[in-house]
Amino acid sequence: MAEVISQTEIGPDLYKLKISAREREGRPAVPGQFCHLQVRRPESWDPLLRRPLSIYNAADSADYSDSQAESWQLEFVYQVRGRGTRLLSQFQPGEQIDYLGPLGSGFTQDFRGKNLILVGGGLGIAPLYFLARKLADINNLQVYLGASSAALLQPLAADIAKLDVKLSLATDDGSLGRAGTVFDILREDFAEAFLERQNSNQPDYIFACGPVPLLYVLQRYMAENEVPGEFSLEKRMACGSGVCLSCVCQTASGNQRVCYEGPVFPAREVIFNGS
Amino acid sequence: MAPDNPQIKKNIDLTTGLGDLQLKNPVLTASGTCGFGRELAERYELSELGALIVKGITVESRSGNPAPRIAETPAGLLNSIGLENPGLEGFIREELPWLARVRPPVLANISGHSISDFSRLAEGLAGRKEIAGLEVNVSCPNIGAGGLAFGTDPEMVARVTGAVRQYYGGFTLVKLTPAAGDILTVAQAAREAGADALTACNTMPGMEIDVESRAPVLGNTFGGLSGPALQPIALKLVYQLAQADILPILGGGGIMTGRDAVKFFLAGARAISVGTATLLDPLAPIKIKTEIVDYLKKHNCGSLQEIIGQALT
Repeated sequence: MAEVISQTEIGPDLYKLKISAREREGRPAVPGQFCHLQVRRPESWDPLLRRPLSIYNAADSADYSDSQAESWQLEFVYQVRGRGTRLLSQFQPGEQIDYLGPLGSGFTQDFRGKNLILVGGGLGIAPLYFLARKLADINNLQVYLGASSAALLQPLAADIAKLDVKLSLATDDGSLGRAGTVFDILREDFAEAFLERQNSNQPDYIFACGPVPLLYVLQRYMAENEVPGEFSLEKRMACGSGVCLSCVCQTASGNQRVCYEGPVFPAREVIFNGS
Repeated sequence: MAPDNPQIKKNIDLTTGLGDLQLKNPVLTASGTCGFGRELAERYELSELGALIVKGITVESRSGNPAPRIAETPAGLLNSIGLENPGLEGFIREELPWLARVRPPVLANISGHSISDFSRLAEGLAGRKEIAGLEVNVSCPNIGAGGLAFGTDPEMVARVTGAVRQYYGGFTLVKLTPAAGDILTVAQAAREAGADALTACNTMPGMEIDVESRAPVLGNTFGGLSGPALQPIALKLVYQLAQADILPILGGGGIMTGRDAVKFFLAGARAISVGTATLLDPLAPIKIKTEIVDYLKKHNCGSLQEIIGQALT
């Protein structure tokens, strides 16, 4: 159980939810992990399932000593897309909310002095702020974010913009940053770097989260240019704890559970055709 | 302050049984909602459970159905996972050694698309001491009969059960489908073919349509309905079966709380299975067990057996 600290509308149907738990369920949260939130009210069985939300920001062991762990805080950024998220958006400060988490695997974090790229499309930007916060100070971090329009992108990019990163933005309608997809602007910026073998601007690693078409083209691009990386995936999920096999994705090593082995997978492992 | 009723001081006796299978408590996990127990074992001692009914296995491994595999419906869940599982050999190699260390009785759920599939599964698991018995899933489409579920036809249920019995001498549960037209005839057929007990019931076939895309939501079009929406249907089947006194019943279908479980005991179930509730809360079976004890204490019952079948006429 956690207490809602704040619930703020930060954009069109876009909310930032902050909760405070008396005790954390598992280990400290790692960027890329998610929590499974109960959106129905007590005594009600509808809507039945929890809603998985990637962790937008969290205090972790570096921020808290063990003695302070009884009041750790988690933030989520989500968009109202249906009944479940609409009910979630109605939770008010002071109310109790049932959550499971942190769940799943996180992004690899042990980088130092590297050229790292973060790519986020739409709501896929949500898990990248926490990661950027962890990596920015000790790496050369370039962040590429894209969304349909400024109304959506501006609030999603606002916190990352305050970090020590090189930020590049793209919108479909050109209302913020360059016009085009986030992949278009990334490819444009690195065209030169990938032409020369020894170019110091070549990325060492790419992290991405976003719609499947974005990850699909990015995967090919990364393979062609021999850049390793990780993708965070999203799937319809029931249990969130690895038992029901609702959220499996295809990978080079067979079906994997997005909630358990994932949501973060090595970019080259994911197979996007089919499901 | 001393309790008024001396029975309250005693431990509540939760022991029960399904035929020859003795259970230290009546809470089982339904097949397909607990994997092979590994993930739940990270959260609590599996020995807290009456038994674990593990993920359904087929002769060959299966990668399951295309996504989406689930759809949420009013107070319910549709799933069409498609029996993703490691197959008989994979189960024996990868899961049985682990299950041998699991303390509650483990029941293996088997699924087939032909009579010979069931024979091969029963033969492959015969004599395996790691498992306490089989649960036979007769809700799969019978490929030899145009895809009609085995479980809707008493004669097919008898043949499947008989095929299992021919190779497997241990405890055998037959899991009935609520889609059967005449559940009593199907249950009778299972008994005559050698079943020890019955599970009532599996998910109910259903579907969901997305009005924006104007297409079915599930990758496989149809799925099985579970959760609270299924509960009254399952409860009625348990009641009917218990009234007819055909075989001991493992009751389940949308059991979310201890009070839900009590309904199934009152309808005559000797044990209950928790399924969809585990998908909402991995600790649900343990919480339900505690709530069953709370109910029994509140009503001055010293043992679970006192309430079984109380609602039958």
